[in-house]
Amino acid sequence: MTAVNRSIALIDCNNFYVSCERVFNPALKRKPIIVLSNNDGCVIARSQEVKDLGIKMGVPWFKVQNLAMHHKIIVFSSNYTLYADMSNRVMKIISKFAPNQEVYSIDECFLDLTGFKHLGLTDYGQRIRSTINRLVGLPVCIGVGASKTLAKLANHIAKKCSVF
Amino acid sequence: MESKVSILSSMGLKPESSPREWPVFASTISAGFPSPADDYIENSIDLNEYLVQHKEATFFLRVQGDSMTGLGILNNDLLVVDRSLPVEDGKIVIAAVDGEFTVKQLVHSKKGCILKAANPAYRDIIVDPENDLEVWGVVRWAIHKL
Ligand SMILES: [Mg+2]
Repeated sequence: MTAVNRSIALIDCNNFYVSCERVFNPALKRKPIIVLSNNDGCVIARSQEVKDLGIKMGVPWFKVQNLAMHHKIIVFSSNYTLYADMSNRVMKIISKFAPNQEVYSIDECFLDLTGFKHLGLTDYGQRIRSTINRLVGLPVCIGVGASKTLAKLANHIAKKCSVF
Repeated sequence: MESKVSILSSMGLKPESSPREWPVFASTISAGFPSPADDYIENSIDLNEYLVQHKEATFFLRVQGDSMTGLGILNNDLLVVDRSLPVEDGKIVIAAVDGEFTVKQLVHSKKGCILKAANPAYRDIIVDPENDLEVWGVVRWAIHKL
């Protein structure tokens, strides 16, 4: 018996909490932004501009407060009601592209695209990506691989190269 | 005041809210004649369903300002905005211009894109290439209390 050559996609929202804040405030475009955890303890989301400054994920807020002030970083307390609402929308949209979806976290899910190869997975992925962007305004990255692990790796590479 | 819009804090339809259906009466309202007492229920209406076509792409916004009163959008109106609708000439849209949301009518002209106000007290916004314009969504409903 030969194993079916599967195509699993990992669809992951870029800088999810930051991107959610940006959807509803266009003035935040291209500005450095961080989102803090409950009771403002740690940095839990960073815009690309903040990542480029070398501020790490999970770092306690007090450690980077001065740096943040110096670079005029805009700081948000987390708004989980908003993020959950946006997450539900994204997951629902993705679910319409293939029957087999596994929601993995608030901002990422696996989607089995094995049956969609004939459509061209690059094109299909682009369609998913542009649909999410049009309907809810969020940027996502998609990685495709023969397993969940490989999909995750492909997604990671996609993020770094920002091509797909 | 220029019509700006602010996003409501509770943006989505509550997922847990069960559909509320209200009866719709078949007879139209006539001024002068009393409607017959034996009005029957033609159908029922679920306002969520009536107002929201594409749930995932629909957002609720609050208007501040009176620059769109000529097209029936009043200060403090609740707008139902659908991002899945095609952005076409003449549509009323939520646009982000240089980082600020506004509600206007989108009109294509030889000069380019115009965001038209619907109140003579306000100037249209002629979008030039230096402006950062993004059409955020198309307005489907404006709701206000009479
Ligand atoms: Mg993510």
